Formats: sequence, structure tokens, C-alpha cells
Amino acid sequence: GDEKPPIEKKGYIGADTCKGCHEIQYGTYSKTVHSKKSVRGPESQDACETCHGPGAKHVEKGGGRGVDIFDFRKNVDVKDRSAKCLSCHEETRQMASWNMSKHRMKGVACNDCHVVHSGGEKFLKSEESELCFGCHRDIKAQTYKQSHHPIKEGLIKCSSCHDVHGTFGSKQIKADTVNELCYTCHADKRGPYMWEHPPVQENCLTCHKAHGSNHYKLLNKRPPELCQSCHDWTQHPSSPYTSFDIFSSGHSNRMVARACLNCHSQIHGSNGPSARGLHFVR
Amino acid sequence: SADGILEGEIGVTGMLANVNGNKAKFNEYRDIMDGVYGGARLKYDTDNFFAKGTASDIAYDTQKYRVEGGMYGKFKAYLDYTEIPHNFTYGARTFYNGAGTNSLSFTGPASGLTNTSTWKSFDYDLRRRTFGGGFSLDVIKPFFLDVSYSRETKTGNYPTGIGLTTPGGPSLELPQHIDYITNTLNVQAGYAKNPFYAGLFFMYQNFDDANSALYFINPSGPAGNRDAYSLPPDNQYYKLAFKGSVKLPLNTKFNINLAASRTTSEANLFTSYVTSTVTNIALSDTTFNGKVNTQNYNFVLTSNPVPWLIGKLYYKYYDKENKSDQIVMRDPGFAGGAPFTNPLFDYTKNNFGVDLEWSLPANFQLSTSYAWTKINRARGDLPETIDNKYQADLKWTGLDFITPKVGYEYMRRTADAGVLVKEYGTATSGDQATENYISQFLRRFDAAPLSRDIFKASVDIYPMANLNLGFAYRLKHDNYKKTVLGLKSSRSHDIEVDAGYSIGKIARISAYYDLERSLDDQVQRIFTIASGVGTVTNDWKVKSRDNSYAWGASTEVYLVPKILTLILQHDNVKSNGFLDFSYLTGTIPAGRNNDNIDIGNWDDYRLTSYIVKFKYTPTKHYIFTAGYAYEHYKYSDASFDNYALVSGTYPPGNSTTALLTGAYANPNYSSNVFFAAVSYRF
Repeated sequence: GDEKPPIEKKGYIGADTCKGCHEIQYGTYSKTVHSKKSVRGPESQDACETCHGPGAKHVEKGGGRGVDIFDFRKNVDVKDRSAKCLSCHEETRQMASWNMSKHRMKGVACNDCHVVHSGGEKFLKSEESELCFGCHRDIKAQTYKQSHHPIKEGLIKCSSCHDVHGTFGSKQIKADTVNELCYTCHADKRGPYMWEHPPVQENCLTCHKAHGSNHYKLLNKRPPELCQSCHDWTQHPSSPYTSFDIFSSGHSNRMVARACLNCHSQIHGSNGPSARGLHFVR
Repeated sequence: SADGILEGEIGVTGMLANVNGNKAKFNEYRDIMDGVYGGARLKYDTDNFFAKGTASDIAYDTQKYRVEGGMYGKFKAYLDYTEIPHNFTYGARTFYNGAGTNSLSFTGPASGLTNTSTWKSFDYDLRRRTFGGGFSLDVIKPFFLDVSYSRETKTGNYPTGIGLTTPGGPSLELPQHIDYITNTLNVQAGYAKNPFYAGLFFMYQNFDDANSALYFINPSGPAGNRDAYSLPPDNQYYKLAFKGSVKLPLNTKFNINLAASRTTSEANLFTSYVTSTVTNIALSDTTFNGKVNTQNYNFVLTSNPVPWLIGKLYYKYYDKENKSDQIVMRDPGFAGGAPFTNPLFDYTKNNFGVDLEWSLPANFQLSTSYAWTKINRARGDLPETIDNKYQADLKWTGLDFITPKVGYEYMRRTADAGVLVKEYGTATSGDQATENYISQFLRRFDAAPLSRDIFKASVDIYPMANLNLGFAYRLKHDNYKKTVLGLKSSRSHDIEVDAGYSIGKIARISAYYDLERSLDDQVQRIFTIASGVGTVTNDWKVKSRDNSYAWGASTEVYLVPKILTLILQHDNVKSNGFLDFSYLTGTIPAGRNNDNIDIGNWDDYRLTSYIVKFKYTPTKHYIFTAGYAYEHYKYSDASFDNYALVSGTYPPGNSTTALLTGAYANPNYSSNVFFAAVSYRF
């Protein structure tokens, strides 16, 4: 089905010629999937020259970086560099949303992250999270905080939640909403519950940070301040919990240890009875 | 075989770990201990097919295995198994028998419970174990089919808590036994060949909780009673989506995403609860059927009609419809026994916007965007919000050795305030007069009127081929102008600096520094309805300040190039929180003033680590590694200082008493880890 009429090609010299000068590069290439005959379609019959273009003039001029040959240096137009890869990879499910990708919009080329000669996992230039943190420095700092998803421990990756090649969702998350994404791993929070906490049902990020926080459970702020940002009422929700309410002084159960969560632990939803459930204490 | 290549690596690592202090915090997501760790990687590759397998941390709580194989251009298949630990607190304690089950009991009178020397020890920790597999077919290209399945078990104990008696009563911390199974099936099938792309995506997830409730003897209730804490209900989630695109003239592409999902759950409801007495409640139905439907539609047009412009125009519609049961309840202990029902929350979101990337003369790149978002919620206080967001970023790439960027974002959120009574009913929201009074002032920050400014600037500098420097600054300011009570403003500054330098073939040095300062300002009101609507005892405010730092440096010294490398690494993470309280009006309680009520340690911590490592590669087959790692973690927080399992007096107990278990307490540790590893590559 993939057979096409032969295309007249000019200036192609074959991989053996390339190998004469670029033995290391050819060696690494030959170990990768790109060199497999079984995946080489009509667009990629030409080994090195599939990506670098015909090499005859390059050879005639005695070689040299970028001399009459396509190379992938940073000063080469981003679109041209990515176009080489997309000529084969565009027609795949993985790259179907590349046109919507923030990376594409911001001028990131395929070879800014991938290097086809490495043959490593997904041809990435380095370990995945370190690669992403190379640009997303603020996210790197967050993942080092005391409360974090286990990214630095290598148990989950950036790509566990994000698709760098583009999605319909914001922040390139692999879901239509934040909650839909979080529930993939935290299915116990999905409910549906009889007693719901509206901000929780709308967006987990109202109270949590995704990458890391100074406060336990990746909370944006510590209770009681976090809870009191919304809850003001008569009696205890509106009281200040200060240095007079800690273990050594006053010891209020709305302040010590987990503060509000000492009682209201069902803040993601409850099927508890009556007002016990309504107030998320059962 | 003659045309196949077999390659792999087998390695073992020996560790000696000495941990002083909290071992659970040290191993929060790890499993480092004295022992031998094994790993292997194996790959067999031919021109037509491949097979590979990996194993790491064999027999430890972080073990991971994967085998995969396939025929190039035809199909791929895999099986994998992973474990993720999450350790919270070892040696937690409770007076209950049965920690680690869903039934907690004690013997003897409640008055004897505060003798903590008799309490039993248990651990708070969770284990996720996931087994999965899948395959994808390439042979049917341009059609595709991907199928994957996973089964995850999650087991352990997790800290939870309840209010023992009336709202505001003593609190009791309990070990919640976790025994979850989650099955996930994903099927994707479609067609991908220019100019079309079309795919159908189906996801099914089944969450099964082995326990529907945590039963416990309530020590404040009548002797021998059994109280219950509801646990997450089993749920089933189905999602079906169609995603498609078509290429159009002028480098334009139209994308569409049409998705619908349904989540159902079922729970048997409790007909009584225990406080100081046992209260029976009347329910219209003893079974709650949860049902939530969602619809999501995206339409996106992207275009690159001229070389200097890339555009994206999009519209998104999302609707969450809550079709769960509404149960009518009569509770003699609440709202005078008047009937009331559970409210159902759902919302609808409309969002459209445009992103434009301009390639300007003189190597300037300008990004501009506008987004409009409207959310309608089944929620009385802030039923509708409208966001208008504008953004512009400018980047200059005129010189190879420097790339500066600046950006600004402004968002304005408008919201008309209402009151909760319309949807929630007087009984469920408490006293209506209270609601009416507080609603005049209170704006909950997740949907409150807001103006947001974000400034950002960064520069990457490459003055030499072997030197790179990066600086970045970001200011974010949220101003909730219409909020009288609640979070009024939030401001953060973030500064990042990093550098990397290579000294020929001798060494590579890198360093980083990150500072994040955040300041939140919120105001509260103590008031009492009993003395008349609007009787204010105090207005007070708190400014929360949080400074975070991360800095470190590392170097690789190539003692013998490509053979012997010395690796040194030093990292620090530090946070310093402060709560500045002020009474604004009213009578300040005796003994307090605006200087002595502040809290100086609020989630303060410092994590320091050092690593010294030698890597020796005498041949291409062998890698020897040996080294030492030191970590020190120190935590200080006012709400955990002088931690006590029994806080306050119990019995008779009062509203400020807490019966705790030690969850998250005393996390400090220091560790010394020596390690040596050898791996053989072939």
C-alpha cells in the first residue's frame, strides 16, 4: 500500500559515502529504529540523506558544517528543522495535535528535545524531567519542595500528565479538565458524593499545586488560612488561630497538627450522615 | 542470530544506610536501606523485530519491570509492573485495636484512653502496585489501534479525622485503612493520513474500595456504640471521545474534540450517627446513587498563512451535569428536625480565545493572546464569573549569545455575588440570617472578582561556547478588590539564576539559585448572630509570608577522561513562613496584643544534601560506581512544635481537645548512605 512510483533524485550519494567522514554519526544512527529497513517508507529510503538532504554538493566542496547540506543547528529555521521530522511523523496519532502545541507556537523544534543519533528512550537528549526543567526552571524549583509529586524520585514523569506534542487541554495536560487528569490516579476522589465541596469538584488546583509546595498535601496554603480564605462564619470558622492556640499554649484542635482537617477530613466529598457529611466530618 | 544484536546491562548496587530520625520522611517516596539492589536491561534487536526487558530495584518497594517487543512497522506490545511507595509516619499510635482494618474498637471506659503508654503502634504508609499491558498495531497504517489495560492496587493506612460531638467539638485522628483497586482500560482507534486525522478514544475506569466505611467506637458516645466514617464509594467512569482534524489551504488545520463521560457511584447511607448520643435520622432512600455526566467540545483552527504569523483560534465548551440522587433527610439533631436535602453542584464553562505568534523584523518574536471564559455554577454565592485575559510576550534572538524575553499578562474576573440560600436551603447552610449577613462581605477566592497582573523577564546568555547563564524573574499579583472578608490579595516574586561552565575536557560545573517570596493578605470577622445580626466581636487580618529558597552546585571532574569521573553535588531547599496577625477592631482577648500573637515558624524546613561519587569505566563493558550521600532535613512548625498525642483534656473533653496519632509529627532526620555499584554491559 505504501509503494509509490520512483522519484527521480539528483545529488544523492548514499550512506556509504557519508560514513566515510561521519563514521561515529553513522554508527549511532545504524543502531536506531530509523535505520530499520522495515520501517523505512518511501520518504526515508535514503538513510542519512533522508534528513540531511542530498550530499553531492557537500562532498564536492570538501564537507564542512552546514556547507550545502541540511543540518539541525539552532540557527536553522525552526520550521525547517521540524519539517524534516514531520515529513514522516506527522501522520501519527502522537503528532496529530502538534499544530496546537504551545511548543510549536513558541518556536521549539523537534531536535531541541530529541536527537535521532542517540537512540535513547524516545530519542530524548537527556533524562525526561531534566530535559523539561532546562526551560521550565520554575517548575524544577517547585518539584524540590518538601511536598511534591515523586518526579525527582523518578517515579512519575512530566509526560505522565502532559503531552508536549499538543493537546486540546490547557497547559498541554492529557485530559479535558484538571480534575479529569487528577482522577486518573486519584480515582477515590472522583465520587460522585452526596455531599460535595464545590471548589473541589470544579478544580483541584483551587487548593493544590500540581508540582510542589512548602505545605503538606501540595496545598497552596496551610490550613486554617487556606480554609479561612473562603469560610467565615460565626463561632470557630471565623476565629483567629494564633500563637495562643498551639500545643504549648491554648492547644486548639483547629490549630494544632492538621488544623481544620483534624475534623473536616472529608473535604473531597462525603457520603456521611446528615450534617456530619455536610460538614465533611464523617 | 546472524542478523540480530543482543545487548544489555546487568548491575548490582550495595547500600549501607544509616538514618537518624524519621525514616518514613527520609523514605517518603523511596526505599533506601541496607541491602543489595539489582537491575538489568536486555535488548534483542533485528532488522524486523525487537524484544527488550528492564528491571530495577528488584524486590524493593520501588521495583519496576517492563518487557516489550514487536515487529518494526507491524505491532508493539508490552507488559509492565511498577510500585510506588508513599510513606508518611512510622510508629504512629492509637488507643484503638484494629489499625489496618476498617473496624476500630477499644475496651474499658473512655476515661482510660489518655494513658498513651498503652496505645498501639502502627505505620501510616501507602503502596501503589500497578500491573499493566498493551499493544499497538502499525501494520494497518494509516489506521491505528492502541489498547492498554492496567490494574492498580493501593493499600495501607492513611491519617484521617473526625469531629467527635457537635460541630466544633473534640477531634479524633484515625487510621483509615486503604484497600483500593483501580482497573483502567484505554482503547484508541482511528485513521491518520494527510489531510485527515480521525480517532475514537474510549476509556473505562473502575474504582473499587474494599471498605465502604470505617467503623469505630466513638469514645464520646454511649458505651459500646459503633460510629461510622464514610469511605470513597466504588465508581465507574466511562469516556468516549472523537478527535479529528483536517488540513486546509494556507497551512491551516481545523481540529475537533467531542467528548462525553459518565461517572456513577453507589453508597449505602448510614441511618444514624454518634456524638454524645446516638441520633437516628430519617432518609428518603438509604442508597445514594451518584451520577455525573460531562460533555466537552473543542474547536481549534490553527494557521500559518504567511511565514511571519502563526495563529490559533479556539472555542471550548464544557458541561458538568450532576444527576445524582437528592436525599431528603430529617435529623432531630440538626435544623430542628426540618427536612433538608443534599445540594447538587455542577457547572458549565464557555471559553474562546486567540493566540498569535508574530515574527517581527530585527529578530523579534511577539506572542499575543486573548481569552474569554465564562463559568456558570450551581452555587449561590458566586454563580457566574467572566474572565478576560490578555497576554503579550516579546523575545529577541538577534544575537547567538543572548536571548532576552519579557512578558505581561493581565486578567480581569468579574462576578456578581449572591447568597448560598437559593440552592442550599436554609437547613443545610445553617442560619439564614447569618448567611445573609456574611454574604455582603465574603468573596470566596476561587470565584471572586479579581484583577491579576503577571510580569516576567528572563535572559539566557551564552558568552562562550562552554558557558551558559540564565536569569528569570516573575511577579504575580492577584488583587481581589471587591473582597471585604476572605483572601484580599496574593503576591509572589520568583527569581531564578542558573549557570553552567565546562573547563575543556577537565570538568563541568553548574549551579542554580531560586528565590520565591509570596505574601497573602486576608481579613476575617468574628461575629455572632445570637447577639443580633451583624454584632461584630472582632475584625482581624493575617498576612502570610512564605519565602522559599533552593540553591545548589554540582561538578563533574574528568580525572581520567572517559575512564574516571568524580561527581560532587550539593543541594539546599529551604522555606521560611510567617503569619502576621492583627486585630483590627473590637476587644483583644486578655494577654494578647498584635505583637505576641504572630507565628514565626510556619512550615519552615531545610533539606540539605551532599553527594560524592566516583564513576570508573575501565572498559566499555564495566562501570564501577562508589560514593557517599548525606541528607539532613529539619522541620519547624508552630502547629507541630511540642506535639502531644492528647492535646487538651479528655474526658470530659472540650471543644479544643484533640486525640491524635502522631501523623506527620517530628519529621526531622539525617542520613548517611554509602553505596557501591558495578554493572556489566554487553
